[in-house]
Amino acid sequence: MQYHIARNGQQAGTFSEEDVRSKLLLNEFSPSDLCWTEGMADWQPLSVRFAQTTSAPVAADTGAINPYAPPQASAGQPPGSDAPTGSGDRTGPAWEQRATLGIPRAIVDTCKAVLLQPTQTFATMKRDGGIGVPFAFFMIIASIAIIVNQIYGTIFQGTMLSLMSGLTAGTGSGDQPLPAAAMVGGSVVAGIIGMIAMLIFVPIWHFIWCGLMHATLMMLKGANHPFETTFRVASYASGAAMVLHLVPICGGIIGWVWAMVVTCIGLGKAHDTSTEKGIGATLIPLAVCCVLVVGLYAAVFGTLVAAAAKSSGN
Amino acid sequence: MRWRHLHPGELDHERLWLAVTVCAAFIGWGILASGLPTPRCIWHEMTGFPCPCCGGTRTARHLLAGRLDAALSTNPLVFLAFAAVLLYDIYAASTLLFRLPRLRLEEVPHWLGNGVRIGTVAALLANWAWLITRRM
Repeated sequence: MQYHIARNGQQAGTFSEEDVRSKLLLNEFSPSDLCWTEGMADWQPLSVRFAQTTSAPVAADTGAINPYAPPQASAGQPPGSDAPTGSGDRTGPAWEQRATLGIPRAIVDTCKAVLLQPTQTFATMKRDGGIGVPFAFFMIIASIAIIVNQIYGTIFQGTMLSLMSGLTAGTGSGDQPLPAAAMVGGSVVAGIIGMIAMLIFVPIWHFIWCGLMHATLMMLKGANHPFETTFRVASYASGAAMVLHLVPICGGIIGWVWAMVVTCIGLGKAHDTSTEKGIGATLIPLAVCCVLVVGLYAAVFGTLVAAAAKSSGN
Repeated sequence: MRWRHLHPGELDHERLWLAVTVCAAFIGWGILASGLPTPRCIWHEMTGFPCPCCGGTRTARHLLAGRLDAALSTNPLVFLAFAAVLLYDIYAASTLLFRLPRLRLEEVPHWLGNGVRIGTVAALLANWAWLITRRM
């Protein structure tokens, strides 16, 4: 018989009856921890269910929550938790409370918290509750960023083409210059196609990227929580950093680098592991996919260090 | 590691990753079939040496054309990764269609976990050495 164990407001996993008894004897489980298995109406303290193994029953308020009644509760929401949306004090970020805050304010607050206070934000981030909520956050901001970036691109490209067609002659076929309107029109059509392609490609890549990061975190023995937690970190980090993509020209690269930094911190905090493992989980897939990325980091940091050394020398 | 049915509300990995990989396959097929430009490896162009994933696009092209031997020799690890994804998709589609129990990695023995870790790193390095030797 397999038991689901909950401790300190969080699910600790599924264990066989023998494992539960041995962990109780080894004090790895506390008598006040809660258990549930199929056939039980509600969660019970281990001291009640395993009275022979534990010395004294411990009264615990299991509430009237059946963790397998509503879907949200079953995905890891612990019994007896006062907070309806999270486990323990992990209820953030603000997007999780969008029903009370309102969507615009929840987006702004979440972006500010993730980008400016990543350590605190991910230390209190809700780890469970499904992937739909953070994915919605990511997609809202990503969609806006993609559309705005395509508009930027189309405007810049259109302007450049207009200028070039006015300045040069004989660039078209048969030495006939293409009309500026046709070139700009083509640029707009290409922009719309590119935008649609990006709206399809970005979410697919986001899932693949999260899967690679979680697999790497497992390789590094840092994945102390399921894929859902990694997905939540990446969605909030990448989604919030997408706001920086709204800044023309340099916003994209700044947003990308900051998303990496925030993801490293977030994985460490959300998985209760070291930031170094978070860094490894974020950078190793990039390095494996293309060592260039590491070279790019080295080049950027090298330039920054050299600039800092030069300014301090002066 | 055991077979079991999903708990209510548990993340359905089979449904999720089947959808993701099928969509990714369609996008990849669309890009290759339409003749759109594919990304070039700047690392390869800068150094003359391949990165660990160099040849991935060519492997996909060979697979689409049914040239399995060419795909395998272009980048063996990418070929095996595509094969693993295909096997996973067959498994995922089967479990979804026939409502079968799901394979879940719970309480993986240390020796198995470490074996997978060492094996993965060794495979990556061996594949990279193969690519460098062949100067892909």
